[in-house]
Amino acid sequence: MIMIEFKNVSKIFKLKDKNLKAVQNVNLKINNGEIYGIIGYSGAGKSTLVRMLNGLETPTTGQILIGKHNISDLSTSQLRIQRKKIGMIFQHFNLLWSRTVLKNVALPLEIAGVSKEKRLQKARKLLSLVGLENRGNDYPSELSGGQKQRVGIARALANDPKILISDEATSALDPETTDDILDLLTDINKRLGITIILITHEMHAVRKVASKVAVMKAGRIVEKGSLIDIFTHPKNEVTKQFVNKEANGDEKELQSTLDNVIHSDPKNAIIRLIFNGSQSGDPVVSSISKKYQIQISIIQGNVKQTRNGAIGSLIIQLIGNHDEQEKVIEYLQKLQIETEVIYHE
Amino acid sequence: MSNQGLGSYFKFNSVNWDDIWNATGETVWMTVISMILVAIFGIILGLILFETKNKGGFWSHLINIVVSFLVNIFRSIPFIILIVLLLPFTKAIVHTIIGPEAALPSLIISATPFYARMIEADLREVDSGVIEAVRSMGANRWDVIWKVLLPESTPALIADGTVTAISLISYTAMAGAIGSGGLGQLAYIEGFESNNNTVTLVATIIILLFVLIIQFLGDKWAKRCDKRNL
Repeated sequence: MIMIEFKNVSKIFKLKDKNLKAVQNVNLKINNGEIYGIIGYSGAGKSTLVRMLNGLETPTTGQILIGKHNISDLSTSQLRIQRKKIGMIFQHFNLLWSRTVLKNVALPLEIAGVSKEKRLQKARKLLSLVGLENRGNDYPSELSGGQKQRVGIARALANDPKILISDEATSALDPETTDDILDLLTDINKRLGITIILITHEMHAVRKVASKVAVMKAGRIVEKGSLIDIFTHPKNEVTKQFVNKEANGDEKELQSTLDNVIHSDPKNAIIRLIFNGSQSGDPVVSSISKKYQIQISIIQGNVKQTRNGAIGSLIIQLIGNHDEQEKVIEYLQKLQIETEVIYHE
Repeated sequence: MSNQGLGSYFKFNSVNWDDIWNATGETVWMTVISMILVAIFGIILGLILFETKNKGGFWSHLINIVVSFLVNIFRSIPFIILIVLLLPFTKAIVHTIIGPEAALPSLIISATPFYARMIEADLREVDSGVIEAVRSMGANRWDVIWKVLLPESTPALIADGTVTAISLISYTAMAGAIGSGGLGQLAYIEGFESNNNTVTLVATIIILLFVLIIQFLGDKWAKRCDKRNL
């Protein structure tokens, strides 16, 4: 069932000297209960796009449907009611330092007019859901970054929202804490069935939790689809950059390794293979060396877990004569394995 | 003025202590009453200035221009001139132009714009991300004011209130020159016009003590409310 639909949505900010096209002709459907990743570099328009979901920004043209409601048609008071059904967490947590953790979590209920007793009871329950049951009387400044984001998540869930927007929620956290928070989001998605929209510039976050991804660049969605498809068959240049960065770690280090290999051995091709969970690297590699007069040297390989199985990446060098190398590349491309020729004489 | 040596500061037997206590009481009264009203009006004006600035809309813009203009005018008039300027106004609302009550209108009109501008700046310091977060929960304008803007700027409001209260003490002393009563008037009439330097010194010390006490309490209070660095 479709929960959220962006229909040809554009947002243009009128600045003094020019019009800034923050979002351009975006069409996107997000299903109920899905974790949908929206990835892009900063300034790509991701935040503007989701801020139109709860009316913090209004689209210049196009329609945004949540369930049956068209967000632009809502009156101010209807919009406030609609906002209560959408929880939001932020990069910098945006907790109120003047309130205790418990009262921060209770704030959305306070705004909704829930009685004090009921809202504190609910807030305590939410704090235990995020593993902070003992910190209710502390102030946010006494917590670590990861704990603050847990409070942010508990607060976002206070009104039992149907949708949770995560706006770069892990971008200010260290890698370990990021994984904890991402696990918590996955857990919440499974237990409460909330639709989560994950905005990020880190492929890592999307890879860990999302089942679908949209890639944004300069206000447009340049590619979208299931996570595995995007990972194993990236088409757009930006998508490739994100995927490669995630698959291979430090690009610069890899590049200098490759440069060295190419320099010392300029006759042999280097290719990158990306496998998804159902395929496996080893048989392919061994079958190549059996079928063709080619020896294979592995330069780098790794496997990453996603929600829907593993994704492997392998960078290999084909050692043999030029014609045989060509045949191997053709063969791999026929196998429907994402093959990128990094270097070929 | 008769020729007096430094010894004239220390003729404590020439001091009428009853007058000193009365004057002290008047100064405290003027400062406390005017500060309470300045706090109320200052916060209202500060919020108006903040809420109407760059919000778009004709009325917001108009209100901002008008309030801003008035604030700038009254903040610019030297206090001693403002009292004189407001004499008819004072007469009309408190029915007298002498005594501590008569000082209140000019004290309030002078200090409120000063405090309102500081409050506007304090509100601007409130994290806009937090305001956005609370709006995304479905908060209306009043929720944002009561639950975010005021609580999140409290330490700054108190610190600036302290500065305002100290200026008010100084204003009450100046108001003494035209008959408001209080330590300022005592220092002026007794000290200056009757050449009693000891009275001037005593009045100075009492005012100094007030300033120190207000500063101390203000700092303590602001720190107590500040939960940002625990």
